[in-house]
Amino acid sequence: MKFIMNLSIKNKLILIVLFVSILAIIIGFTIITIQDISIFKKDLVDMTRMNASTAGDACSSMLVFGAGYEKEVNQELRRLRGIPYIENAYVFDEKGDIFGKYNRSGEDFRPISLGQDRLVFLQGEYLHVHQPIYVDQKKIGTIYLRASTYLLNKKIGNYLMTIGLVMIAMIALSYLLALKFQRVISRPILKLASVMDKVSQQTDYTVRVHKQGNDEIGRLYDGFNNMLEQIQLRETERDAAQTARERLFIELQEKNKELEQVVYVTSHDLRSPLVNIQGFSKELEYSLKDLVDILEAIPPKTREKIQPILEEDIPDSLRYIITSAFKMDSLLSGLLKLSRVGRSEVIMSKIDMNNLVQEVQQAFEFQVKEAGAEIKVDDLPPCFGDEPQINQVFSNLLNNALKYLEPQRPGLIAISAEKQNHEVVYCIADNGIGIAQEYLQKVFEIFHRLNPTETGGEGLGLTIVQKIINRHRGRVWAESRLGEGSRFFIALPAHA
Amino acid sequence: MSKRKIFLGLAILLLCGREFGLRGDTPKDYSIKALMLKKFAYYADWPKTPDEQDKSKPFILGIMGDPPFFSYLDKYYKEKKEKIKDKNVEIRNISNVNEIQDCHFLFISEQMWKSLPDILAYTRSKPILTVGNTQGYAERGVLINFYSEEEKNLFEVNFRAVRESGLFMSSNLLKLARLVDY
Repeated sequence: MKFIMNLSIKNKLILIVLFVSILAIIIGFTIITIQDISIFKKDLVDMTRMNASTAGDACSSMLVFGAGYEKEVNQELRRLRGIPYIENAYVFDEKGDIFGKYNRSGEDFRPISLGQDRLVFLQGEYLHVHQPIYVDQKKIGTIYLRASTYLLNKKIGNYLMTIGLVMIAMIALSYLLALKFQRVISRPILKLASVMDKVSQQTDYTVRVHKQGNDEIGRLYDGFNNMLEQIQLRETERDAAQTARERLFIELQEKNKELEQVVYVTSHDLRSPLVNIQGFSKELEYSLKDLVDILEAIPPKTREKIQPILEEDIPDSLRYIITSAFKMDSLLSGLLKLSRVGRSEVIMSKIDMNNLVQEVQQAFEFQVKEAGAEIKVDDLPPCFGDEPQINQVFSNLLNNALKYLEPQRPGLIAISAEKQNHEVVYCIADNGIGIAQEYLQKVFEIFHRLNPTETGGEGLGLTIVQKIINRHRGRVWAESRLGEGSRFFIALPAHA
Repeated sequence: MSKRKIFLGLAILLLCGREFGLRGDTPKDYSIKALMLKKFAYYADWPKTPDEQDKSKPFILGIMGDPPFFSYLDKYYKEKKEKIKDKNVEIRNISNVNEIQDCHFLFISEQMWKSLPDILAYTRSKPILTVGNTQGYAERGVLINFYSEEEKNLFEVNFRAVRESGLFMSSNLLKLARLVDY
């Protein structure tokens, strides 16, 4: 059955038509053949009986007039010579004695079943017919004919051969017709299949199938065309959306670049005037000291008026200018740093994280000692990334952890890692002051500082961390409980 | 009827025959003649007139010029009650031409040789099957004339006379006959 299921529609149709035709032809011809053969047999019986009746009637007067007419009876029976299948003919008188006979072969034959009035039976290759002869409703004798079935069998043989040839011809004709007419059904389906192949291989949704009629296949064509139209429409919409997105992306990239350029230029270029401000402020400070020294030589009355200006007002203003310029310088240098991170190329390579963390630890040795903290590092699996940038990430995180330790208890910092599928998640945990839930997301924002008065820095450390990790297509997130400590997670690719 | 009575009857017929000075027919000859007449009847058909189809009317067998044969037949059919053409058989001794009218069969003996023309003039073109057993009768116009040859019962038929009579005679009978005057 699977073999049939795998056949093409064309072959399936031919097979079905052929099967039905052959079945019908075989059944039809079998019935006809059985009927005809039975008619042939009946014909032989009828013809033999008719010949028996005719010959019996022809011999009746001889039987009536009795002895002396045997010769005439024989003559009469010899006429049966013209009927090829009659082999023997015998006429018996009233008493059952042979009155006349005819043997085609010339040899005497012993008729069987004598004394039977009316008997027809087929035995072996011969048909035996016994028939009484009546005159004036009185039986005067019997005629017996023996007919050969050889000719009948030959006729049946020829008939079967003809029927066989006709059957073969009809089956061949059925095949040819099936081959021709299956196209009415298979052609539209094959056409649809080929169009479908074209659509799936070339993803060309503009093609359409042209339907021939309004049958089920016609409806299938309509459905198919409709589906193609829908796909084409969605494709167009998707393409348009894609184009718009790409355009926006490019625009965004350009804007980003522009912004970075602005940040870079701003931070870089603004430093020169700032250096001037800082330099000249110092100069002003020195000039002010000189002025204070000169002040001794001025008359006391005038000096009393100038002294508060020179010793309090101007130095205060100068102190504000210098502090602000310093702060501005610090901010600008932070911005520049951030801008450089965004502009520098990420060169991915396999990083031995145990080594990297050890280097970072060494760099912070003094701060660690000063804070009286303890750092515990697990065995860390390697990852892929830009080594100097990842070093920066860990430095920033360790710096933060040290900066926000709780002064009331001994600091404890733990660095661990866990490999998850295609990435390695590193964790830097501390028992510091912690971060309130509402600030947990804000810590990554630029210039955001939790305790600006208590701790130093520009508020750029975590922003840089996030920027570097994003550029590595990694993830960074924080978990914390206020007063208990914080945990920073970094997920980086485990493979190239 | 006992065999003895039959023999007695036949003996009387034999004696009577001799008394009438006939050709000396034996009872065997009569029986053969009677059988032949009966057999001819198988193969002859009379026109289907209402009288003919009425099975209550007898089949009439007329005998001319042979009283012993008449007696033999009369007695035979009265005793045997045999039927011809499904009708009762009536045997008539015909002495006058006018008595012939209703006969189906008319047996004409050799004695009637002289008056044969008158008889045939009467029966001509009538459905009366004339039968004789005298040489030359067929040629003279009697329909069937039978004779014996080497112990074989043969007969001749005047086919023209048969056709004129309006009788139907079976080919089965005609093919065994010697046909004269046709």
